[in-house]
Amino acid sequence: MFKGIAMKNIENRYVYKLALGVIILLAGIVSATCYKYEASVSSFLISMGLILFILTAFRLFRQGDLPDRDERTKKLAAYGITYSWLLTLVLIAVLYLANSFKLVEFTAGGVLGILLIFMAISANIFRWYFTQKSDVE
Amino acid sequence: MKTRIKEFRARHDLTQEALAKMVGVRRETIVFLEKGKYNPSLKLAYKISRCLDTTLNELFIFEDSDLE
Repeated sequence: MFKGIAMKNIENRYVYKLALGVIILLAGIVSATCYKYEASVSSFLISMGLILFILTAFRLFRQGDLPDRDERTKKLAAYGITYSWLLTLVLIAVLYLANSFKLVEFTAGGVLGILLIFMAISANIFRWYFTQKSDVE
Repeated sequence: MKTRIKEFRARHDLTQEALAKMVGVRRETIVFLEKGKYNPSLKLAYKISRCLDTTLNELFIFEDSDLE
């Protein structure tokens, strides 16, 4: 009974992700066809859609009978994101102070880029660290 | 926290992978549980105890130091 419920959830998650990948990919193709002057948006959407689709298909292919996520990995990922969020708050404060004291001049796009990359990388580093520890209290 | 999962798993002649499959978790989670390095949710603990035909009290051993 437990196994059936768990496997059903896994299958649904993969189906939703594959569908999302296809939708993003199609949105990118439509965007490239209709809005030819916004090539960066189109290429971003096409790349994201393709990456999501290929990664999900790869995980689905190699998953076997066991899930690739469970309560432990979800818990560790949640803690990773929490710590990443807190560290990003510190980074925002540092960037704000640096800008206030005219140490560095930032553009809005630059700050958004820094935060986007910093959050993604730090969340993964924290998740990896907690995975090494096996659990968080 | 100590567990007797390994002992009960051996009694039922189950591998870590087979138990993981039965309760719907990764094999690594069973490894960490057996080493006492992971505190499972009550739901997972109950699933495991049910799969191993035992009770939570039999399977998980709490000491006073675990509650500090």
